[in-house]
Amino acid sequence: MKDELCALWLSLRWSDLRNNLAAVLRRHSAPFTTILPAKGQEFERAWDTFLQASILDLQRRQRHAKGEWPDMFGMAIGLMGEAGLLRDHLSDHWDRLVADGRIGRCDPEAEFNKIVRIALRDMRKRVMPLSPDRQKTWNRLDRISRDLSRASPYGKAERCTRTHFREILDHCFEAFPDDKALPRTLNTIEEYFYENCPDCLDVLPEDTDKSALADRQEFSDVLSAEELMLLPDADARISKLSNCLKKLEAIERDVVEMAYGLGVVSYPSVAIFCSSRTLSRRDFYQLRSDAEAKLKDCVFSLRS
Amino acid sequence: MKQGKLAVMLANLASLQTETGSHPELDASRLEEGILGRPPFTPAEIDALWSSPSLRQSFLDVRRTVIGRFRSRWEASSFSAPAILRAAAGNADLTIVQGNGWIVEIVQLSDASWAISLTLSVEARAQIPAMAEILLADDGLLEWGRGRLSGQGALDFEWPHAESPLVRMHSHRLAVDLV
Repeated sequence: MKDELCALWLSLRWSDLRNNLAAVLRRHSAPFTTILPAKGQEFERAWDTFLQASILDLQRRQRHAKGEWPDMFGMAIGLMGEAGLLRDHLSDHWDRLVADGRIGRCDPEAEFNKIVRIALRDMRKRVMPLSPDRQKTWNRLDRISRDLSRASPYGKAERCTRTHFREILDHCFEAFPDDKALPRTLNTIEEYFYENCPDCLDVLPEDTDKSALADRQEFSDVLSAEELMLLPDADARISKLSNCLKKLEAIERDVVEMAYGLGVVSYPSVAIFCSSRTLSRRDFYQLRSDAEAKLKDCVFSLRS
Repeated sequence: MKQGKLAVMLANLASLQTETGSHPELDASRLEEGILGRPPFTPAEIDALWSSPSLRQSFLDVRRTVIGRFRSRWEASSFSAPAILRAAAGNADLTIVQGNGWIVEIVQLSDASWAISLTLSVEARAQIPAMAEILLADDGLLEWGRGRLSGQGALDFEWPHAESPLVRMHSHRLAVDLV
C-alpha cells in the first residue's frame, strides 16, 4: 500500500480503522473472555488461536469488501504486525487482575475491550509517532480543556465525553475562528483526547465499544446532511424533526435552536446565550446532549 | 435555509444512532429495485433505512452504482447537450431556455427574485431512475438547483444567487445532469 494511503488511514481515517479493527478483534476474543487463560502455555495457546482467527477474518473482509474498504482492512492487517504490543498488554493486564484478586469479579469482555483500545493506540503510535505539529495541537487542546473546566472541574470520565469535546469545539470556533491549526470537527477532537489524554485511558470511546454496535456495524456510518437527504422520504423526516423539536422542554428547544442557528433571535456565541439565560456553559452542553438524545429517539422512531 | 440547518441536525442525530438489529434485512438487489422504483420501497423498508446506519451505508453504495450507470447513459444521450438562450418569450417576465428533452422557465418575481422551473419530456424522464436527483447547472460551474422530479417530471425552485439568471444566460450554457 502506498505511504500516503497508510498515512491517511492512520490519521484522518483512524477512527474508522480503529473501530473496525477493534470490532474484528472482539469477535474472536473468546479464548480470553470465556475461559481466562493461565499464564504460560495456556495463554500462548489462547493468543495463537485469537491471532490466527483475527487475521483470517481480516483477510476475508479485505477480499469481500468494496470501494475503499479493502485498503482499510489491508492497513488493519499491516497494523497487526505490531500485535505483540496487544499480546503484552493482555498478558500484563490479566496478571494484574489475578494479583488484585479481581479476576472473578470483573467483566472479562469489558476488560478485553479496554486493553484492545489502549493497545491499538500504542500500535498506531509505533507505526506513526506523533508529529511535532500534532503534539503542539494536542498541547493547545489540553490547555483549552483545562481552562474550560477551571470554573467547575471535570472528573476523569466527564473530561472524556462528547459533551466536553463539543464544548471545546465551540470554543475553538468562537475564540479562534481563523486558526486553521485547531481541529474543526468533533471526531478530530475526540481522536486527540483518546490518543493523548491520560484521563481518557480508562474511559472507553462513546458508542464505539458497545458489543451490539461492534457486532453489526462494520463500516463507518457518519453521513453528511447532503448524503442523508438522498434517502427516501427525507423531507418527511425533516418535518418529523420539526415536530419533535416542538415536544422538547422550552429551555432544551432554545439550546438546540441556538446550537444549530435555528432560533428567532440569533446569538453570536454560546457565552452570550448562556449569560442571557443565566446558564453555565456546562449546563448548556448537558442540555444539548439530553435534547439531542430525545430528538434522536423521536425522529427515528418507527411509524405506528 | 432553515431546511438546510434541520438537515445538518438530522445528520448529527443520525450519527448518534446505534444498530438495533430489529429491522428487516434489505439485500443489494432489493435496494436496487427500490432505487429504480420497481417496486418502490415500502413504508417498513423506509423505516428500516432510517433506523439502521449500516443499511443506510449499503443504500448509498448501491445508489452510487445505479446512478453512475444511468449517468453514463445520460451523458452519452442527446439529453445532456447544453442549451443557450435563443430568444425572449412574448411575456416580459418569462424567459425560456429550450434544451433537448427539457425546458427551463425563468419567471421574474421582483427586481431581485426569480422562480425557476425545469420540466423534462417523457422520453428524458424514462432515462432517470426514481431516486435520482437532477442537477441544473451552467458551464461556469454554477449550480442553479437540484432535487427530485415531481410526478409530472418538474423541478421548481427559487433562484439562489445574487447575480441575475438572465445576465448569467447571456454568457453561459445550461445543462441537466443526474446526481
